[in-house]
Amino acid sequence: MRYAHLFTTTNFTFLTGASHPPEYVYRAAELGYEAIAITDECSLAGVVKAFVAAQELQFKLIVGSRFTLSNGMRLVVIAPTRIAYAELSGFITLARRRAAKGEYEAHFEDLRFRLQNCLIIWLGQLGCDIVEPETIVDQLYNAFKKRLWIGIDHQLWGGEQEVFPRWLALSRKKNIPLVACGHALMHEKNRKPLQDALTAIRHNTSIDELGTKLEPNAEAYLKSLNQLTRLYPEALLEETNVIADLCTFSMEELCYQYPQELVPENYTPTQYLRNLVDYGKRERWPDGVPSHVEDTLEKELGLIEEVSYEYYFLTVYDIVQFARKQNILCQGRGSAANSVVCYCLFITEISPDRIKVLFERFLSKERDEPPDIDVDFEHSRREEVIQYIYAKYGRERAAIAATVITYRSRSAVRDIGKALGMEDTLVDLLAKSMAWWDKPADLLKRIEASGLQVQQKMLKHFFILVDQIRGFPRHLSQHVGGFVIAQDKISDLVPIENASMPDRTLIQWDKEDLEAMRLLKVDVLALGMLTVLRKALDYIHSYNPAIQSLQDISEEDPATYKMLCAGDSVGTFQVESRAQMAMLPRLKPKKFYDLVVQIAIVRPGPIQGGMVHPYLRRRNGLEKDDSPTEAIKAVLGETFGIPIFQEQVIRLAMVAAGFTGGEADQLRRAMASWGKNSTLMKFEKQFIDGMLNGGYNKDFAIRLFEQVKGFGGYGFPESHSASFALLAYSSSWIKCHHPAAFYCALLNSQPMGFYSPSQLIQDALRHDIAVFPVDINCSNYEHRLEKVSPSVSSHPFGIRLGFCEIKNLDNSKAQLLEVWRADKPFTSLQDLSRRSTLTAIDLQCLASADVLRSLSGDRHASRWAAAAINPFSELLDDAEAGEQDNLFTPAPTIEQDVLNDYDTLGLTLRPHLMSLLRNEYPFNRCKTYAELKDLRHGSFVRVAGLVTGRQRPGTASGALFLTLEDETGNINIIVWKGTQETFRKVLLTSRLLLIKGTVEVNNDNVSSPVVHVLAGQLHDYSERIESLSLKSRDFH
Amino acid sequence: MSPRTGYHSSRLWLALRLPDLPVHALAIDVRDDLVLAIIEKRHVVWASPAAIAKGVQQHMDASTAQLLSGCIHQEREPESEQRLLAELSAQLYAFTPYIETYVSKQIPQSGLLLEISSCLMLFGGVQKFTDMILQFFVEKKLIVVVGLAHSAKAAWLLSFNHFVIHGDENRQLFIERLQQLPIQLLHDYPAQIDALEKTGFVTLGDIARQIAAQSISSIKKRLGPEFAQTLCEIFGIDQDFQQASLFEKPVVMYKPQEFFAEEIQFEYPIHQIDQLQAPVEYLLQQLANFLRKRQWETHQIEWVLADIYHSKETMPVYADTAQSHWQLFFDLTLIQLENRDLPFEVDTLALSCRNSQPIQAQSQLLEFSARRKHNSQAFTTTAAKLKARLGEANIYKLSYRDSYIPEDSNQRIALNQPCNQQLPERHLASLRPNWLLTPPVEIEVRQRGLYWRGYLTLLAGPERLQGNWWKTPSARDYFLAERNDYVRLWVFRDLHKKQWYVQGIYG
Repeated sequence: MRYAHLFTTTNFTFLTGASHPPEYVYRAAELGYEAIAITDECSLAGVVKAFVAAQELQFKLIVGSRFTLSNGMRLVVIAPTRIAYAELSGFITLARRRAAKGEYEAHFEDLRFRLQNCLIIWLGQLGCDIVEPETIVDQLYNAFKKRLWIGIDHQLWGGEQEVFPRWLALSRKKNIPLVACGHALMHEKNRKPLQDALTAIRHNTSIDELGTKLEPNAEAYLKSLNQLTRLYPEALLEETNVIADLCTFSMEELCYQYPQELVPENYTPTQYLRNLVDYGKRERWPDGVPSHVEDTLEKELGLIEEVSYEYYFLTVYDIVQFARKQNILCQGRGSAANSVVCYCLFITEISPDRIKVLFERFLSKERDEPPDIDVDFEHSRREEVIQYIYAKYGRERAAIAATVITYRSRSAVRDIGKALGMEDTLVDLLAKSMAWWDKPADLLKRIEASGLQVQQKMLKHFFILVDQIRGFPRHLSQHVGGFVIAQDKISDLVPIENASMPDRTLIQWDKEDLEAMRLLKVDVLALGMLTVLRKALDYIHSYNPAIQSLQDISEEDPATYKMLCAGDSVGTFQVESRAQMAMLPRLKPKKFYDLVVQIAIVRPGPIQGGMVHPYLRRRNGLEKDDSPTEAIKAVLGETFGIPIFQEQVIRLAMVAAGFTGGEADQLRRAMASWGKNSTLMKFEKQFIDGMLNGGYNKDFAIRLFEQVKGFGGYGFPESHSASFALLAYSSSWIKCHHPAAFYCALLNSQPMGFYSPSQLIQDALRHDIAVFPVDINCSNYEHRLEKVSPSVSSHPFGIRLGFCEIKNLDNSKAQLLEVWRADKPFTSLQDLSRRSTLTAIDLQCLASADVLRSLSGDRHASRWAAAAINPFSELLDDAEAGEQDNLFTPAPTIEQDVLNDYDTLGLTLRPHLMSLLRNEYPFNRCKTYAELKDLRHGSFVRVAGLVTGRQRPGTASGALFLTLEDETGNINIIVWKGTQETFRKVLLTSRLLLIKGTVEVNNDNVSSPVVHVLAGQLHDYSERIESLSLKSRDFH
Repeated sequence: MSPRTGYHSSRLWLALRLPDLPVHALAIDVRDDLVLAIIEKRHVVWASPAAIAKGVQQHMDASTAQLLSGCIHQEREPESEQRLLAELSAQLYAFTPYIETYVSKQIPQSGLLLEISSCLMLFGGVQKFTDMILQFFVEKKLIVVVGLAHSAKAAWLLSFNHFVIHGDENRQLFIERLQQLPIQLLHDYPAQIDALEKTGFVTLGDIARQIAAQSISSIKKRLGPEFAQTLCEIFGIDQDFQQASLFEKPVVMYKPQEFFAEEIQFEYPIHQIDQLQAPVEYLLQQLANFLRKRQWETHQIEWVLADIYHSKETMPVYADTAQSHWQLFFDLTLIQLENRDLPFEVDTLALSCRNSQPIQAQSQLLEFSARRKHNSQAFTTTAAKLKARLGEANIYKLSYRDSYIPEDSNQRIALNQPCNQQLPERHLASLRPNWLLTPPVEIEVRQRGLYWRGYLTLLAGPERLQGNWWKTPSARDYFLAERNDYVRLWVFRDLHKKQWYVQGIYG
């Protein structure tokens, strides 16, 4: 018997379907179906995922969608042809665009004219429809004629046998065929509990409260052919094949047209691209293009022409050109970005002689896949670029890709807990515990100990459901910046719907879908560091006109590398994390390529693959490069025989294991999905056998494949690393040579990066940068550079903090302070009140932040005076001025001022809290950060500081990394698992920690000592921060 | 330096602060090892010593407290706290009629404030009086801390610092003691505390010094008149120099709760119920007068019958809707009396009503047809009478409960609760009999087929109901069946037990 399943709701009908699209396809194939239609509700969001699975199995996929119209009628719409598909996609777009995000609105009247090629299955459900079938059947038949079916859905709901004759009569009378159209909400019936839980989440209640909102039984699954024959008359099952046979459309037919207006008349795209590249290369190499570059360029252009990707490069070029004209800093990255073509088009700044670009990664004819170029823009100005794209191509032709928001552990715990009606406290406990270090067994023990009443059976359901729902899509959101731009209407390709942001639309497919469908996507991304660099360059340009752009930064500057070798990289791009800072003195970067390696090596892939230590040993000459052949040396030579980049793995597979370019790329993809449902292991034999055939020994082959496996999903491509390295170098150069401009730009671009403003300012102060407090008569809204005399600092410029740093101050008023002040300083609090619209609350806020010191004295006095200020009135002005009354409390102590600084600004320029406590027990017995490097390796040590960071990376075998800040720097603490358990409470809650442990000082083969403390005992002294203000009062 | 004071009141206040009121109100016995936290709005408001030892603190997030200590959570019950305070007030009424209740909106600290100046002579001075009060709380097994001062607010503040009461304290001493206290104790004024902290004030003494130097108006201008007034009350400052002591606000007198209680003693013992009718009517009319004068109504009255040998029999009478008239209670009383014989020859008939409430403002429908109103009243009266005759538990109504499982799809609810009669679409569409058997009755499987009072033939089905997997999983296939006497039945096969049942009968 042949059968095609026509009514399937996947989990892309969010919180309704209980199976992934591929699960349906695999199951349908397993059951021997002829075809399966994916028919999510007013959506094609799950279709591509099903298509990929269907392609893999060579199984027939039918594309459709289900609608409930405003009159209550329910329909399944099937797209049998390409034209019908465009109709369906357009119809979904229409229905979605009419309604708010996540909803749709479709009317009966829309159907007739908009769906002229689609097949319509009218889902009969007597008694529930608002419209009686007999009253509407004529209209339907007239509209769709031979494209109309009546779908019979037998779910054992009761009453189905009684109403069937009525449908049959209607079918015979009007000559509309009946078709078996059983609804599937899950691929197998054991998903029913999950389906119930999803229903509960959708209704925002617990399953126990749902009553008949739940499905009455677990019959909505893909049934065996035997079961189907018992449920439906044979003719109805046969009819499914009639529909399936009519469906000739395959998703493969979706052909993408690039926007073509970018090419001027009388030019072919190739001619125009070649013209632009010619112009660019003369600018890049004014003294003549080296011959090997010419060769590569020709090879690249030839390939672009062969696979017709000229428009793609021209589109990216156009966007980048716009940004450059607007003086918006941008940089391309990605495999294709670091091509010579992109360098000549000024999309990237990585010249071909800086890194080895793997041509197979650039574009592969075999792969037939669009190239990948991501362009980063200044994060504060990216919106201008987005608006440019919308303006140029219109909303019909440009749309943002979706990101499918899926359930992760914590959200799964919360929603499933709620669906099962578990107590809020228990759900909270479970969610929080999961985020930390508990194993399920510990968790059960903890729940029992907590006295929470919970049935074991319920917990069992809970764990199963949490596991099942993880990875389930929850809703569609906007991709961070992936734009799809087309020559014609995008809605012919994929439905468009409203995003939650006003005036934003997104398509129903995500990045993977676009990749699978080979659609062009340009990533317009936001990068905070580009904003920092733009601002810093502007500041520098104001006093040094020679420096205006990134090109003006000198290359391979020894001073910059020296700074990096010392691990002095707070605030720089990519190399500022704790792990990177610890690696810098070990790796000792001396040239650009070292930075490319540095960025790629501190990643989970190389760490878990065990590549870090061998690389460092070989780099330091302690171990030899054991590459057995010249071919391997050519691939791994730059990295001393250790694969660090994804490209190297691909090359290795080709050079040593005999993979073709396409096979090597499949290997790369398998690596990227390693750990989930990876197909990586199927390459193991091919890889090892290939190497053995190439004459390599087995041990070497196995070791190399282990390293490939280690890369897991975390390997980093060299092309990305090189683009990042450029920004890492530029930011480091600015930090090294223009530190005030660097910190000022960084502070003005917050929030971004690893460090808080307070930590950045502590770092600036340690670099002898003069930082001046926020002052009502000196500050602007943003932080700014201020000239300082040599007696104050070794640097000619310091930083004047701006009003933007004041917490709780109305932002619009903070920005206006500069305007109100104009050129004339405020002379008194009354004057400030008179010339502004500040209220007494605003004035008190300024007083608390110690901004009014120059007008009304210390914090206490200023706040006292500000509290008495009334709104300005011409009549009362003189009378009010005389009514001053003094405050009789003492001025704030330094300790109080420091604490108040933290409260109101989040930072202080006064002495560090630790220096205030340093003379007190037990802090007087602790070593400072500055003293640690001089201690003997392995000796006992006590340290104390403010907790500024807690990290627990997955690669650190359960270790927790703490960062403590004292008055001399940041102390790195490692807390092993056992210690974490013992000091759980302290770790969770404390703000000021004292740690007893052993110091580890690494002086071997490093450019500066790498120091960390292994924690043995942790003591919480947070209460000393609170008591500081009161205690200090005693000695005043 | 003390603040400028304008008048000297002769009043003396004793504050009784109950720091453990949240747990006392819940009547939990706090053993040493009990790790308990009382929670309000998901934050800890009280923690047992064992919980505190494990790191639980006030204001801590409930989940953090749980993670830290694994403590038991109990929700705070402010109503129970109020009830306990009301009970204590009624009992302390024996000591002084001047009792106020103090409840903070900001912190879970409540207590009582007693003005004791007029009863000191009776109880032998401050010290003896305080000892008696403390003894009273010891007997009640309640923890209390006391504060003594010249004003209610000052006494409350002083209860936060332990000062031994000697009985010879004077207002100067109270002011000195107040000056040592931190400003954070003015917790009912969080914004003002914040403002004071930010201007360098640490103790009440700092405020006193500021007032002495600059007058109260500098505080009033900045922190508001209400806060300034509180400070004046604490420090006994006359803000307006208007001889305030002459116009001192009278102390609020504690009013014990009013209730109705009256009795009739008969000239001769009554042994027939009929003879009680007239006295019952009389007492109920008295009650109705009492209620009407106060604009009260009640759900419940209580009769006590007594004889000359101290035998007593109580008979409570309930009405579903609150009444201020006597007629319904009269009818209900007679019904209850008719249901029983007099236990003894009645010498005294007493009527009491302790639980009354203000008459609820009820919106009435503009109803021009008096008949409907009459019907509704008649139903209420009939229902109340039926209840009186048959007992509360035997009068109820049925309401639809949303469930697929037939025996779970109805529930008994009280007569006055709203009833759900909205059946979901799915039930309306499927074939369901009106007469359900609860619980379902097993069907025999005989050689000739299913048998329940006759052989059954399955006509239609199945309708499969499957679910409740999170509690007791159920899976049933329902069929419409016909018995050989043409009675149609709703039967099902339990797929887990492999057993047939009859669930309902079609009319």
